[in-house]
Amino acid sequence: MALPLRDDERSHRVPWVTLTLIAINVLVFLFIQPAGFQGGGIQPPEDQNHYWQAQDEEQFTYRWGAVACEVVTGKTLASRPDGCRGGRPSAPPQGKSISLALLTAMFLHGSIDHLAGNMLFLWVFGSTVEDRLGPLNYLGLYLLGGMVATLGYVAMNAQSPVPLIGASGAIAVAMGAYLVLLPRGRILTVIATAAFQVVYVPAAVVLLLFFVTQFFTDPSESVAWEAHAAGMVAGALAALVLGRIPAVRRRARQDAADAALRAGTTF
Amino acid sequence: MTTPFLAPRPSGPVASKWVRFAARSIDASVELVAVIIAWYAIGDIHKLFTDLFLAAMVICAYETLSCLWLGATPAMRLLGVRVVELDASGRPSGAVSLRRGLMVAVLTVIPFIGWALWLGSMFGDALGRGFPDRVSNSMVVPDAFAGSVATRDLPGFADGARPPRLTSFGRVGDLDVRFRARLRRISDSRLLASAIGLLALTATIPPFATGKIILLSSAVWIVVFVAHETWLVHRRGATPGHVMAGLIIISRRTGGPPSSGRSFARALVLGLLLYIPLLWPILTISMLMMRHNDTGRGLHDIAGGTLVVADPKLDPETQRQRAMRMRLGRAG
Repeated sequence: MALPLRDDERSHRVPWVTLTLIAINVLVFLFIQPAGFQGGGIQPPEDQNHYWQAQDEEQFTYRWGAVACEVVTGKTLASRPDGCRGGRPSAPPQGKSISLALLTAMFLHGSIDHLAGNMLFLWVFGSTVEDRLGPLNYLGLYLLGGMVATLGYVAMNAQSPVPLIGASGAIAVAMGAYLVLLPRGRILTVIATAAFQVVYVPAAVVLLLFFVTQFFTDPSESVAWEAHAAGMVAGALAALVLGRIPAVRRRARQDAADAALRAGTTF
Repeated sequence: MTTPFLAPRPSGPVASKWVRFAARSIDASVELVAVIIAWYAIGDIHKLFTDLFLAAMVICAYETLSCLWLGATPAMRLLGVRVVELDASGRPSGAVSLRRGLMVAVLTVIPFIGWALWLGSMFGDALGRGFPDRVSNSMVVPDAFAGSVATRDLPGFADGARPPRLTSFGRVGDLDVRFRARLRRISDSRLLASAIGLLALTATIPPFATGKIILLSSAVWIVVFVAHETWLVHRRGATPGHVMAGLIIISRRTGGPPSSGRSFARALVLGLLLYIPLLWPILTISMLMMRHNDTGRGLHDIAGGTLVVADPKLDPETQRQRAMRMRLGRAG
């Protein structure tokens, strides 16, 4: 219902980590993920290649995606562990690293729409959070927080054999951190429910709406809303801790002074 | 009311738009050959978006490197025009060249829509500054022009390239300035932003979270918009966006703020044209009328009996600078 375009915070440095993360996600989607992820590929469906593309896609997703019941049992689907519901792939990948999949799943996307939406959110919120936290803190927050978000999904779907892919959990971490670090920010947002109007909306409104709507996600949609919710909570909590780092506090004071100067306030 | 004095301005170093079109066509042909060679060299990928990405990268490299090393693409050089960075001398910097190259690449690999955006933005601007020029803060000038171009000179150059339309109430507001003022008027209005926030909140409640809520809340939005617009135009004769652009809405008969009835008629026509996609063809006609007729009046102005002109309380140069800041997206 709402699509963020950018925020009104002034950046002090180039968000290299965010740019690099976006580049990695895009390059992985374009050059590493099988052709099937790009919307059916160039071949028509009746073509024999279409079948192999679909097979490739499934194999790839199960190999590099995070599968909840694998994480819980510590065994791959190939070893047929107890505690997994049905719906397993016909030929589960061999030699899969379950812990590595927690990381790699964050860099895979199911379609071009999935990738584009996630990268937009990453750019809008991630670049500002990186500016406030600094590149290393931000990178740690993104990677560790993304894994925590995935574990949040795992906790709610312990028996699920369905692989989870996408950066949205990690991006939700950045969104949660944004809410704590920049509660007064404003987000230029496209609102579908108001004739697609483009307006500045308080970041708190956008982010809290995003959080609340996760709990009303249609079960038929393939959306790991649990990862989003867990990611936002993890990001907010982490930001409370990271916000106490002297360098981060100094940057916050500097931003407040800049904002006051721009508004013409004396301080 | 008297017509404000407007000193005549030179047209400035504006390159011919048809020369630019020809140069772009030649460059695009060269880029197409380079893209085909790149695809051939890499081999069959059978990935639609990967192929498009590779094409965009080849075009971006061609545009960026030629702009950086030659100060223009080879075809532009051939036809006697070049790129200058605003407020700087010499060849465009790496950052400017890259931004320009990326924008050209994106617009080129999106068939029809991207091409239309490039052509429309270039031919529609008085100085021929299309999206790639605006994004990269640059401008295309004739080779014969030796100096640099300052941002503050652009308003005068624009007036020289496209003489302003004048009425007995003052200078007519230009279409692109009014268009941008319209966008700003929405994004800077707290009342409207709050209304939109409430509509968005309503749409998250599960029983209403369907496609129908978009239609319903959009209808509510149009009612809010018409009421707010009527109040602003009748009481103040301007929206926040118009104020930032140095423009004012007046009655064509009296020169003062329009009556409440006329303001409502104007707001209603505007609201319907802007927010009902089925009526966008009529909106396009209205915009063409605003662009080409002597008084810059669209259908909503005719319905309201209004004119949008430079605020007579501002001196002409201040108004001109405000309008250009709005054009450049730097109003505030």
